[in-house]
Amino acid sequence: MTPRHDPTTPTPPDELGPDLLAHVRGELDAARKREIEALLDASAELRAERDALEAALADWSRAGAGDVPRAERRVLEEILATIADEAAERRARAAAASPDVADAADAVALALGQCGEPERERVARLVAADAQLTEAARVTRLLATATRSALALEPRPETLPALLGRIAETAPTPVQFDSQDIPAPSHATPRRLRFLRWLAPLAAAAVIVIALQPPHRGGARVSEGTAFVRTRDDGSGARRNGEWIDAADGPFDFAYGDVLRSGAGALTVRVACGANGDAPPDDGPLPAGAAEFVLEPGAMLARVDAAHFELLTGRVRVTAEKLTERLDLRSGALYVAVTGTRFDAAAVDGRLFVIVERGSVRLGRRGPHADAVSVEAGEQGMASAERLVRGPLDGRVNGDAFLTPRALLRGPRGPLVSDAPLELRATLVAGDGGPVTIAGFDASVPLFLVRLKGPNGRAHEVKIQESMLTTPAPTDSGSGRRDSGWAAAGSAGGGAWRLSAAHPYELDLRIDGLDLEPGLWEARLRYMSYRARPAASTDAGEPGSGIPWLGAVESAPITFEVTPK
Amino acid sequence: MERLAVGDESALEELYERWSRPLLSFLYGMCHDRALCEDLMQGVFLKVWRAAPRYRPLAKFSTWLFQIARNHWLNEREKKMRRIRPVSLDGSGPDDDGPRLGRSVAGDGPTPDEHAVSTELGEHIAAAVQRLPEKLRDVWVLGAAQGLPYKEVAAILAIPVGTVKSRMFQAVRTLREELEPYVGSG
Repeated sequence: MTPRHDPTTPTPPDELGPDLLAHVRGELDAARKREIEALLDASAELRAERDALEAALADWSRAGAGDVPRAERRVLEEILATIADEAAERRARAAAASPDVADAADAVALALGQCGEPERERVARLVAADAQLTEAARVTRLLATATRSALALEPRPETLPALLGRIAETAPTPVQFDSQDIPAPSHATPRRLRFLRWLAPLAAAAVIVIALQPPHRGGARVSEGTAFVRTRDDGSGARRNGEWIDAADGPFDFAYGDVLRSGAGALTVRVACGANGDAPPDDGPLPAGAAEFVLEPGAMLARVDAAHFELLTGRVRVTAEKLTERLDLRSGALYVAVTGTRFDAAAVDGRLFVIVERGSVRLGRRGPHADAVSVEAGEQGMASAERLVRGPLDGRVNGDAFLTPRALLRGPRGPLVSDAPLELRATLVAGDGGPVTIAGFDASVPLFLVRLKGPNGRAHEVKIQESMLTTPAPTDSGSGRRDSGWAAAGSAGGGAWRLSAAHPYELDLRIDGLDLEPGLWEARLRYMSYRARPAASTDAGEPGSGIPWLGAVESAPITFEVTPK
Repeated sequence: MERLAVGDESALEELYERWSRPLLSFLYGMCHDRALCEDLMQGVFLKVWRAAPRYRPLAKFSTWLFQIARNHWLNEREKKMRRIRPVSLDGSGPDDDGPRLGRSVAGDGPTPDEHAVSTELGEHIAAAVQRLPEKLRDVWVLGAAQGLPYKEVAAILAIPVGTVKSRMFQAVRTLREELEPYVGSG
């Protein structure tokens, strides 16, 4: 076996985020600045991260101008920290795509007993055949055992009596089998980067809209988590205009014009959806006219009037089963209208997505092209300026069921001689959600992979490189728009491509030197994009036209036969 | 849980007997502060008690429990950080009514029963786990220390299974780097 670099050996920590932010803000000393600039020159990923940081700072400055109250600096810091986290995650995922790292991650999983039956045998063989992986597995077992021992504590004897004492002080809870405590299995952390660019304009628009409303109070109660409320001044002097106020426990006024956001954990808030309603109870069944909102970390919700809420950003789960009037959850011109149901909604990139668990909702848009569809329990729907679609739930969130492009691979039509080049055509087409922008081929980032599986069952992964393209990578989607920001990132190719029905993205490939062993082979195309949007991009037109879709998609396999020389 | 839902305290005691150690271990991995862990654990069981009538078995009980525990820890930490912001990080500031960051978040030093592990590695690993970035620590404590399947860790943290796998690998790499002198070379 070819000697490999052991991916579990110590490497410099991936902690560039804070320095990159300091660089963007001009806070680095000259020496570190030179170092960071050298790293930026060498890495498209890092440049994309820098651009995202600059875009967020610019958006925030714009949102703070004019009539919009300037928010606390801490909120900005949180957004920037989110960008840094997401970027670090993307770098880690890109690194994990390397076969060495994937094998090491498998070795770690094996050592922790996390490999299922068919996988275990393969990984065990892999580990046994490679000294570095054997060592990685040994270290993993050692660390896990030591951690278990170090963290094993016995509860103190007084803890249980104290707990029972606190429970005795708690009023009995009525029996009602209904829970918001467990997110459905499909729930996942929202990809916050996607909507960061829309956060500031949406927030500004919503704040302006609700500024026109007369101030009202509305009874609400935090039943789980920490709520932060940004209020309007009601003239009484009791409410601090434009500041984030910690409303950590119990009842509070969620007045018209107030903005609510969650902290680091999920936030559950119960709201009386009537003017001047009393705060609903902490737990137990919701009273008539009340709704429960579970805001995932980072979500922001504004109250416009009694039963009209504006989802500024992020993801919220709503239970509203005994309403006395229609509840509207809006995101710009898009809305979800309900009179009794339970659903999740996410405002992402100018689109509104809904997942309906119980009952049904009306998902629609207002304005000159007003339209609506009914989305029933077990379905998900998407509203955008140009589309209203619905489909069955499939475990994907944030609209991925609709927005994920489709990957197609076409290959040899007849048998292939073992030393002959493998010629393929890789195609991406838009999904049901309509046009979506993707990151095009980039010589510096492995966005396109071909996965091959041979007759011996061993998988190979081929990163598509520029030398494998028989024609240059497409750089203009035909819509007359090419995102110059990507080109400015300095990598070969690297443009954004607007996928639509009329403009699929195609690459013709010729892979030499594979020397495939005779037998039946299987090939799949994998496309994965984890890059952030550069600041320079100024696409107009459909919402979200310039923000690249992020994620991974794989084609169905094609099979072909390889014959001996 | 049905017994708990109708207010049967003995059901809570059974639940406590079964889950207090894993919960304590999980919380200790999060905050490395014995006294705080006990408080947090009480809070978690209190939440379980209150939420029992609304419990619906959409996932494994352990998933639900650890989700509550993690959310509780995050919320309490956030409250604590907000309360103690004015206090000096190194504890050299003036005394006030609030707890200090150094004591409340990073722990106030090991107690005798925290020295359960006699090996040299064992003496250092709890601190090393505490220093892991939060995302890696979550995955490591749930998947390696608690031994929960990747799938369950993914459900608790609301992240894809592939991300759990990748973070677990990063956690091993980071811990190995940190504890190189004690890990040896097999």
